Amino acid sequence: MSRRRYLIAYDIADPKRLRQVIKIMESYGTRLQYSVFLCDLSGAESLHWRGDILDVIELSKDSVVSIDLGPTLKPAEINLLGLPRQLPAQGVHII
Amino acid sequence: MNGDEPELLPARMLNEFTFCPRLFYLEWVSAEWAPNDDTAAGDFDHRAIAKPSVPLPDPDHDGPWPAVRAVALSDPGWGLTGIIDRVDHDDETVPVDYKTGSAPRNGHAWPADRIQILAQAALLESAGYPVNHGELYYRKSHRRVDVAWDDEGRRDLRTAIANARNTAAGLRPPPPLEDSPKCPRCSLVGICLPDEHNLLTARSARSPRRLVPRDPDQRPVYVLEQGASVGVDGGRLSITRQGEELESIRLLDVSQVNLYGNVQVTTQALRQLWAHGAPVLWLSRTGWLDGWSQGQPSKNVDLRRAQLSAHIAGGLGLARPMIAAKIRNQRTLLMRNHPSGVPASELTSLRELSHQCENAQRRDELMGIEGTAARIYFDHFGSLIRDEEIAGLFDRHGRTRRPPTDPVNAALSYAYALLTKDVVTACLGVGLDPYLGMLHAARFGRPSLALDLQEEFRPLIAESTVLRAFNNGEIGIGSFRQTSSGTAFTDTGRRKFIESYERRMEEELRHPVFGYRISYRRTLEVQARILAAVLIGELEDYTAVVTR
Repeated sequence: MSRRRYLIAYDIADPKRLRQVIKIMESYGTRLQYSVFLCDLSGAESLHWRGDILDVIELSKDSVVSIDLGPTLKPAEINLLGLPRQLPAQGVHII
Repeated sequence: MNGDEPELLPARMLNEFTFCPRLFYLEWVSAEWAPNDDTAAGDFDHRAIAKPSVPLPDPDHDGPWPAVRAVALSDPGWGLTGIIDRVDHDDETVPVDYKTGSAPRNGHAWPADRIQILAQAALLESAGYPVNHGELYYRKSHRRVDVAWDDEGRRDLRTAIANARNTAAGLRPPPPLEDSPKCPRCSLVGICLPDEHNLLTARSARSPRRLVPRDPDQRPVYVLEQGASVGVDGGRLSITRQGEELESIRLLDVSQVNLYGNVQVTTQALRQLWAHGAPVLWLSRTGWLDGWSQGQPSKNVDLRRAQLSAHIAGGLGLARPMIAAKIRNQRTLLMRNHPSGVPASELTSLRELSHQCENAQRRDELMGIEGTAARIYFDHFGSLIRDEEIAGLFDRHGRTRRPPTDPVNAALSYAYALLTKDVVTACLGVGLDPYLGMLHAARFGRPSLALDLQEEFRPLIAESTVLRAFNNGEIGIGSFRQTSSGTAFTDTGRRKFIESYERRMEEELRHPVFGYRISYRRTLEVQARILAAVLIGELEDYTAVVTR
């Protein structure tokens, strides 16, 4: 369990690229706000994420910000006001 | 050359060989691979370089060239093939290779990188280009290192190729490096188990460093909801029922998917799961393992051959320590959990039975010892359950399988079924065939190797989960219902029980041989790897897990 939690936000100038970025973000994280995701990623996973994003965005027009919130075992505290939001959860899923 | 190995040796494999002959063997001959953060960093750095560019101009091309990227070349003379990151050309032609790490302090190249760039120089020269040197570019230290392509280089390359081919022709991997600083960051460390091997083969008396990768971040998914369907949406597994999404899980978080009863899965989901290395298992509603699917089976064919010969030979030598460990673990579980103490004579009998396993000469003899121990053990097992009604029902019937007559028997059977599917998964991960066992007969469609390998873990994982689930009140008499086919879990009871089982798998134990702390989940894989090493002849004996 060597993952870290990242808060990742983006501004994408073109609707097509935006859709592609959203697809990528959904496979790496949990949506927190419209263009803000929380992603729990290992070193390798975060490199894969970076590669996927770089394949899609235009560096001169779009912007993606990632903030390291620390190891998932002890991440930075997140306070929510208003509508409930789901935070990333690890563990077994029994459905 | 014995004609078995592929004709052309990739230049990258010469790098691996120089770094560690065992790594080379595991990657090239056994086709084992595991990524880690360092290999992901290398892949990321190679993203731009690896994109093919314009083709390489002919050797007699006049005038300057642009740098050409990702040049693939082969040469039967050297017996080499390779992809060169970049080829520069001025007065001479220069192969350039990018490395993610730092250059050595002495200003030279790392020996493994040197051999690789020499191989690339040889490939270019054989293709007719004038080569005098190659270049290595170390990203982390922003350092360029030149490697001369001269007589010494040619000689060293020739020696390395001969040695690598010689190693590849061997029947088993070379031994691991000893206490090497290279091991901790090697991506195959969890497959190679260097320190563990060296300890078990007495090449090193030191206790192993904790090199085994930490617990994976992935966890099992259980779909018990009848009528549900498992599909995939982008990079997420989506579980729906009648068009309504029940759960959406990142594929990154999934280690295996267990489908119980009437649950569908789409082809797209299967492929994506396989691509992530997650097997899919189908079980009956009552937990019976019906089948599984994984992507390509392991390419480690030598292991499969070795397993088959051990299976034909009977494998009694492997089964003995497994059963001996099971009996010792049963004894420990009784000693730890019995409220008033098990009679000393019974404990002594169990210890003696465990010792007798070592001398069992035949399969039926070993199974007889196991049966005697099981009778003693299950005679006292009921007393470990605090609820008197439930304990009483178990004591009235004893251990019964088909049909389960009471809650404890139903829970035990269910726990063994869970353990079986996890041991099957561990076997698949290592490249073992779960059906070719040693002790259990490979008949009646039973995954007999998985049954063998789970023996030592039955008391440790399955029976201890049952005890805790009852004694902590997670399940009780209300978690079961009576049916014409015996006692069975209710839907809620089953979920609760799977939760307790998974909690047990997360718990850590101190590995009795290697000394480090490791989860039960991971222990299953380590034991499967040790078993594989014994089968292939790298280790003499199987060393089972016994707790104190």
